[in-house]
Amino acid sequence: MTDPACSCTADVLAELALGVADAEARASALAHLERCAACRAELRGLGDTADALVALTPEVDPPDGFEERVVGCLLTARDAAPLPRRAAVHPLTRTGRAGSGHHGVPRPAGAGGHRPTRRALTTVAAAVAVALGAVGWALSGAARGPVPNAAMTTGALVSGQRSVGEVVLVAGRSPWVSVAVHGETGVGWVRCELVERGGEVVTVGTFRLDGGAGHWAAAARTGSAQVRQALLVDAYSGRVVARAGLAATS
Amino acid sequence: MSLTATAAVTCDVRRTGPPVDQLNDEALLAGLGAGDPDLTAAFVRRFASKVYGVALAVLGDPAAAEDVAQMAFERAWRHSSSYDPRRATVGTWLAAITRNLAIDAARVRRPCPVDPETLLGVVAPTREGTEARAVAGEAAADLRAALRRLPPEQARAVVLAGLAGLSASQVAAAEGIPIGTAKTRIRSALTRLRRILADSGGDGD
Ligand SMILES: [Zn+2]
Repeated sequence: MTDPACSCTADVLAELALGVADAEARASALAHLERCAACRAELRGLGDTADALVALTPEVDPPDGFEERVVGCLLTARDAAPLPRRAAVHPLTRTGRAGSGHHGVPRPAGAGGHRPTRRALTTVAAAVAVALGAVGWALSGAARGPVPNAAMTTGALVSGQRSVGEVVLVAGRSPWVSVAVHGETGVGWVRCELVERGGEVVTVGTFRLDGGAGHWAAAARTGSAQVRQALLVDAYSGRVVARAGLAATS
Repeated sequence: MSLTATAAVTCDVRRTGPPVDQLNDEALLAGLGAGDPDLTAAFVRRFASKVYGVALAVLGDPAAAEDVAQMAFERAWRHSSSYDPRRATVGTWLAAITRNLAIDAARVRRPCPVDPETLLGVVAPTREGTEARAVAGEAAADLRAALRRLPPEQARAVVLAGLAGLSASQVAAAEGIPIGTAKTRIRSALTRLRRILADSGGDGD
């Protein structure tokens, strides 16, 4: 930090990381941060500390009905807008977060050109859930015929002897799979494959692991009943880096 | 490479029972992002008190806190793919989202100042009873210990800025100190917290 601008910026980095800097300080600091990697790194470190601090805030039970209202709104919003993440079978882990470098501030994703076909997974269930104040999802199957999300299977993603994540496969009219990886798998791009009972291998998509970690969700061709296991394959070498058993127990 | 297939858990969502509640935070977040109703409900259930608590700490007004908490869940849904498990737990990420929204909302309207004493309890040694509502986890315990190692006036300043979302000038007013002093305290405190945490090996998170 030899640039005098760095020391000016350093004065406000903590406030910036805590999200409480005033508008002018913020504007001038951001202008400097655009061109100074050292200060950006500093802000990032302080931002992580600030986020951890915020997470110490004591929990408080929200008013009655809060959870149901939130779930109802989320499902309504989901059905009102296409979900970029669902349909994209490409890298879903966003890397190199743009913006202030502060972890908790996702920039609005409006600029992205990713809005393909709408895939309402569970419109009926969602509508019923909203009508019943969102507790209704548990009842919607009985009430409205076929439930899109009939069953869910989860399996621990294992590499060697280590658990490196989790796979969730949701069956139904529009099956989907979610994969969370948090262990070091030592690869960047991975292909997620589902091995079906008959031995056929279906590729779900290719995803980027940032430093070995990432999570994503994508449409799957078949639900849990037909899938034996999920594989993560190094996209370059074709080597299997982790797998999860998904045999349904029933 | 010997890869062990582990026992899978199957659950039928038509049963109201918990299995989804046994999924880890990342899996629930992925489910939220994908718009799954069951996982969305489980996610909201798991984090409602945390999100509401953060919003309330900044806003001090239950109705406003509820609005912001709801917005925070919506933002988490829209941006679930930007979550980075190496940098923070899901809870920490969600708390940060909530707090940023709450600060934005507080800029527009801060009806009554937050009672700082409630929040400053975070710095105080944990008592019986508070423990239950305090945030669990080793990282949180490390951070609370780190806060107690700061000079008390610094700890107060960083908690007021960090948890209540007060700006330096608001901290100055609340503490009856010049603004320059408030800025210095906030800055020193956060920098030291970071260093203490790094030294204790709890890097990141
Ligand atoms: Zn600089």
